[in-house]
Amino acid sequence: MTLGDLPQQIVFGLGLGAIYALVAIGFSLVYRTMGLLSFVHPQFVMLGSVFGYTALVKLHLALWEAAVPVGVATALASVVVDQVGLRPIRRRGGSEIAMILATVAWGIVLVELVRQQWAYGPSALNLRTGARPPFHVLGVEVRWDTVGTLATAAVLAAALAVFLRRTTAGRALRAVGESSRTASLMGIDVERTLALAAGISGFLGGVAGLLVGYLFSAGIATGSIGVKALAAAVIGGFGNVPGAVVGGLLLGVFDNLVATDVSASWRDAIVYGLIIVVLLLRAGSVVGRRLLVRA
Amino acid sequence: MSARELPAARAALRRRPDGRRALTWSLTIATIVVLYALAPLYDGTFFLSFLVDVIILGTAALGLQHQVGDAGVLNLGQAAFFGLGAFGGVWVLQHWHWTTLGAFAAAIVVALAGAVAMAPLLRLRGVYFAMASFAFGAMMFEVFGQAVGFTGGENGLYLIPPPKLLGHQLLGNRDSYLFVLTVALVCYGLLARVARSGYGLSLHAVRQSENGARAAGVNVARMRFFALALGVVPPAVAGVMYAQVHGIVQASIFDQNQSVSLITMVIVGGVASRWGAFAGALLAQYVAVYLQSIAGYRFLLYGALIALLMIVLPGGIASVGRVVVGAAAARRSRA
Repeated sequence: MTLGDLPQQIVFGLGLGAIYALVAIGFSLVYRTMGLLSFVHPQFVMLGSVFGYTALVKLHLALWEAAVPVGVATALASVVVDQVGLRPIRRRGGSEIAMILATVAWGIVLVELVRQQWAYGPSALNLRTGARPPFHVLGVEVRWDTVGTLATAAVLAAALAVFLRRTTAGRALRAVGESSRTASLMGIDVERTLALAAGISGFLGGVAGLLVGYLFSAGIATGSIGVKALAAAVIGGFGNVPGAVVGGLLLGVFDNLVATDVSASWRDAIVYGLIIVVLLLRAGSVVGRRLLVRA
Repeated sequence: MSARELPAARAALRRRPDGRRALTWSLTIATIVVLYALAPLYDGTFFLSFLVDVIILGTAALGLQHQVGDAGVLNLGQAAFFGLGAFGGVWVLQHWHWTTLGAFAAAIVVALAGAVAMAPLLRLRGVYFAMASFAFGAMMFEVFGQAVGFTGGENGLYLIPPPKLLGHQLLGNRDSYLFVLTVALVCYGLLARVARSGYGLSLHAVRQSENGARAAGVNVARMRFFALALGVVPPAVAGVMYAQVHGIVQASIFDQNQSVSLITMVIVGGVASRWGAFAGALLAQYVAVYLQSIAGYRFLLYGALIALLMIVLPGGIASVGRVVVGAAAARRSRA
């Protein structure tokens, strides 16, 4: 690669990065409020892609029309998983390990439910139809895809930020994130707030899934993009919502640069290595002290 | 814990009512006899081959049980060590024509090297270690896929010689069964013995109270590393057994689904129970193999079953007895 290609590669990467960011926000929100590493979360991306397929191909909706229904449907699924699958464990004061495994199990359930529908069907559906030609800014080619994904992520992230800071429900959510015990003493309905957090993260995951289905493919394998978004959440400081956005964009750019310039086949290995390096580096900093086992 | 207090503490841990101790021993011996008796009874049947796979997976899960259950190290990348053991063992089998015991040794060395590579992650706490270990496993899977010279890449390695012990070739599923059963029992016995050693007592103390243990002079960081290292030995051995029994091994077996599946076995079986690892492996393998009749729905059922189990029986299958006895006792005291 010549240095001149760098801006081009960065722009390409940002589109994917916006999708990572949406998923990473969900990871962080769930961790912040429930203290939970959720392995079911990547599967909401998968669900979003499948719902997106239904909306775009079966119901012939336009992409922008599909966003809200797909997001809401995925959010509902997320709330159901939380209330049916996780709430009883929380109520019994179940261990962290039991919670994590329950999310793993729900991930299996969601994948298998979708597989019932499409056993050998469209596992890789490119939904994109006649894209508009790209435009150029300072000699860098910009696709409308990239603009759209970035705009979607920006709008949703901004809306979430406003919601968390300005509304009562949003403040309640942050309060629960600080300390659910104190929050409940202050009269906040903790369970309802957790359901809300699950719903929001499901919505964001669903929209991300719709975009993944539109840009790449829809189907049960889409969850792997969600798993990689875990790296984005880690880079941004797990549990930190604005950090997740930055982490997502960085990961998108990094991922794309590694794939084009280092090695496409080692790409995933390098991204996973990055998670480890970031975790260890953050642990060394002052902010990261709480990550460490006290030596 | 000082050296002088150790024998006393050890004795205290062993001191059980004599009746219970005799019962435990007779149950253990009876179980072992029954397990060995299955070999001639089911010689040549599909059921015995099924049990071979259950035992291999259970052995891999056994190491993880030690890490998670005994030391609280939530390792979500255990498949990497299963794979390192398999590929390390097969390398010396195929290139240097070693026999099974040599392959075990090589597998253990390679897996321990992996544990050393993973050691820096142990500085991370709880869920952060879980995440980092998940990334470690995912990374190792990618490495297995790319390191064609070592793993055969996507094609995998084949024509792996069957197990050979002390000059005897072990062929057929009865021999395979006796072989994996014996190795699994040895691993089980060693881990059970270790749990009662000074090291096991220190781990016990760390679980009770990390700060308390530290105040008593336990080096917590070192304990966690020992647990990680000891816990990669059974999966490494299981990797060799898998490769030799099946004669073929592919990198795709050691992906993150396998890691997740191993931790599932441990927790479903009961995280605090060594035999729970095998109970979990039995359930998982039963669903995968015997529920073919409901083909598409079996994993759906499995997932739903785990989700339900985490709600109604967080202690896993191994806690069934305790829960039932507890419920009966509660009813009796109420009456």
